[in-house]
Amino acid sequence: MNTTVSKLKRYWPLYAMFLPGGLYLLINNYIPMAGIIVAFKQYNVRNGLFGSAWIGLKNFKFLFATPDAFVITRNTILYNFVFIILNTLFGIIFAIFICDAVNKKLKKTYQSAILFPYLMSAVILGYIVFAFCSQSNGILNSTILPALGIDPVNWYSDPNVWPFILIFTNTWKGVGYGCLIYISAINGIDPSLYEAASLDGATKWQQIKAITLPSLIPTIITLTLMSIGRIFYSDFGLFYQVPRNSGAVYATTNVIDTYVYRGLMEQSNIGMSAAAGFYQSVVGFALVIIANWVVRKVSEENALF
Amino acid sequence: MKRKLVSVLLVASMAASALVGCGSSSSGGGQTTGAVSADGVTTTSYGEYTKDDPYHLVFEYIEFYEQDDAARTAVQDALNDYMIENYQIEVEFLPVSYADYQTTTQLMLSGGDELDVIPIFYSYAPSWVNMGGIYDMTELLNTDDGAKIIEALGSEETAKVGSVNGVLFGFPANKESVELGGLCMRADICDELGLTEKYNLDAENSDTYTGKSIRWDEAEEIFAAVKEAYPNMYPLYLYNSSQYNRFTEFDTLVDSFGVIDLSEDRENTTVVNMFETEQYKEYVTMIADWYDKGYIYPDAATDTQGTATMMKAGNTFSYATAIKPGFLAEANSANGCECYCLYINPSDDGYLSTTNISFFDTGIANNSKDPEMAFKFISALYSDPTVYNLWQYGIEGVNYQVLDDGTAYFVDGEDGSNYAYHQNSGWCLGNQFQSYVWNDGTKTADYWDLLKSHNDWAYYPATYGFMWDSSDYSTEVTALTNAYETYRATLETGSEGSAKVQETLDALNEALYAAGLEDVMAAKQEQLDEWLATQ
Repeated sequence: MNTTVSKLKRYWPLYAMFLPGGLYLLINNYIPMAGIIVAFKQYNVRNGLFGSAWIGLKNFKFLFATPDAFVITRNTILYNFVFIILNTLFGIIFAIFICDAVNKKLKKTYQSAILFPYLMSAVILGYIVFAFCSQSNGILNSTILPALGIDPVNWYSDPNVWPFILIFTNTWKGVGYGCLIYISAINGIDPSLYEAASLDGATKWQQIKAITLPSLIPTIITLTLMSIGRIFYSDFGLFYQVPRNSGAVYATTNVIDTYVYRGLMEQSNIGMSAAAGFYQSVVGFALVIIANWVVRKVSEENALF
Repeated sequence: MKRKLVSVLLVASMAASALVGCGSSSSGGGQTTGAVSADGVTTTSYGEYTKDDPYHLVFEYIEFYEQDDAARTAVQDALNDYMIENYQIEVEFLPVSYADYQTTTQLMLSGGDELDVIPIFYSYAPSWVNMGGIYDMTELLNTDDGAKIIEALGSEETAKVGSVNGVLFGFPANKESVELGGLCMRADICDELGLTEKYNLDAENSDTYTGKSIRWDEAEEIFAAVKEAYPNMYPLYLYNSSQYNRFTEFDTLVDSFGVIDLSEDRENTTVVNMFETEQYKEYVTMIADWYDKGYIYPDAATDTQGTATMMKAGNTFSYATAIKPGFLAEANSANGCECYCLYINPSDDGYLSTTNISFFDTGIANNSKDPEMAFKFISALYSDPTVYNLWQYGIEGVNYQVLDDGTAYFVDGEDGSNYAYHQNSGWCLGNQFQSYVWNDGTKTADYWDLLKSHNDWAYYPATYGFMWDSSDYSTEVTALTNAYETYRATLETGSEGSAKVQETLDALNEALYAAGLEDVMAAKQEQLDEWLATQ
């Protein structure tokens, strides 16, 4: 107890800084958690949150017992899986390139340019893709494909092309953010390590392999664990706006979030919406715990908790 | 560990106490007699209200156009001067934007906010009723105030159209509701290609229905002529939104999963699968054929730009739309060019379905502290022009003036671009037929009569007034919606060409049956039969 008090005394500025964020988390994320019971209820305003009748798992039925359940779960997980790998990979590659840029002024320009798509709204992103893929005026169908002697493709009704388009778009959009974090991590590496290495005659590639990458591992693990926690959530804007809500390509573009949105917009069923959120967060929570457990087995000092 | 447990419990208990307030409600007393007014005192089964102690009523409505806040407050004050004196009600405006309407209303209904009179979009009604958010007005309809509403709507049948499972949740707005439409076309090209003479397009009041219209297969020659003269133009603009009601005759029974085919028999009461009917197949085959011939905008399946944008862009000749008296004036200004319209329908008599009439309904939230006073206010929206004009157009002399011919317009110095207060949403709530006709330069004082007579062309199908309650089938409807959405745009814009229509239709039907269409149709038929037995 004494140690707690003395710690408090000693670090009180840090605790004070934590307070607003902590309060925010408590009010915004923890208190509303009690509301998840509505996922198991037939919600009725007059009876209130706690008085409504229990209906067991009926609200979850639409997530599991329909023909779409498999498709949306598969799409959500596979896309997020690929996104995590590619964003990490390209984020690190670009971070290393940018950090080694010789011209320091251009370095800032590169950094901002690569971050720019990340700040863009999904609606604009959708229109950029549309400029390429439009049936009547798209660059692909009217210029590029004819030049290559390929027949025009009906992009918005062919499900097979969408995994490629979505992955490409998401990487283009998302790489800047991860890149920024890796740049700051690389800048935090002790320069004397590199100096020593080059004195010993290490090539650039050897330096990256032996110094940069190992130093980035804690950052990679933290970012990946956070992404895994959200593997059952999907970037709604990306999956809804970029394929322009085209029904013909649902087979490869429908994810849990878009399915829930489309299905429940009309019905406004609070219980079913809560069930979807409950399912996403519980599975995400479990995955974080498992992933962290695996990390701890492999190298304990890198585990998040 | 123990400390952690304590903190978790603490959080849980705080959450419980924070939410427990939501549970309370105004469980209406068994006796509902309606509000009784005498000598400036109104008495209900809930309380007594006087000029000095009026009932505070929250009136939610959708604000489609931006209003000046100060002007709105001034209008609210002026309305209250009148309301408190005559009704002992003090109204608080609660405007919401169209985009926020659903989420805001739903949160207020489920959160127990202070709320009395609300607009209810018909397809949300069953779930809102089932979650206990809406007050059942059945008994109140038998009061004097209820009689005024019935009178304004024309019949008790229409007044009760906003019912589901015997719960009367709202009253429809008075508007042009009949399902009649056709093409809106560029006038200059019609003139040039001789279409104007052929269809007599420049006749006076060509937007007023005369009981005659052509069929869609006859319209093909119009598109062919335009395509020949202007190969780079899109003869018909379609977009990513269902427009089958322009081309077919179904009562969709809210969600189009199990419908009534009205093409042969308007008294039909058999629920069928729309996507297996001849009518639907003929329609999508015709559209696909047009797509093959290059009559339809190639990006139609994903397009959401809207007709006005495309017409303004200059490379679109026409679009399919609902038509009513006064349509052309609106179309000309929206499209930025002179337009002609031509009535094209599956048959000469339009019809009215529950969906057409009961689009937005005015109802009472269960949160209301005194539903009888709320009902009194709704009754005023249907029968008191002073109240309605104030809410819609603002204060006479400040926001609008009454012209010599009995129509209304902005005060001098204001117009459609710089007004302070002008709701212009009469089609959404209440009885706009009692208000002034808004003179935008094309309408005369008898405009409401024109709209009423437009509705006279309508036929009432046997299913009119029936509303399907899908709340026990939420899972199936979600899956069905997804199945339909997968193929809808492709089929209804013809985007895959006529060769693939049958294949796509088969795939759609297979997906629908896998999603539980049979159960939904059976439940619909059962509810419909029960409802028919009570009529």
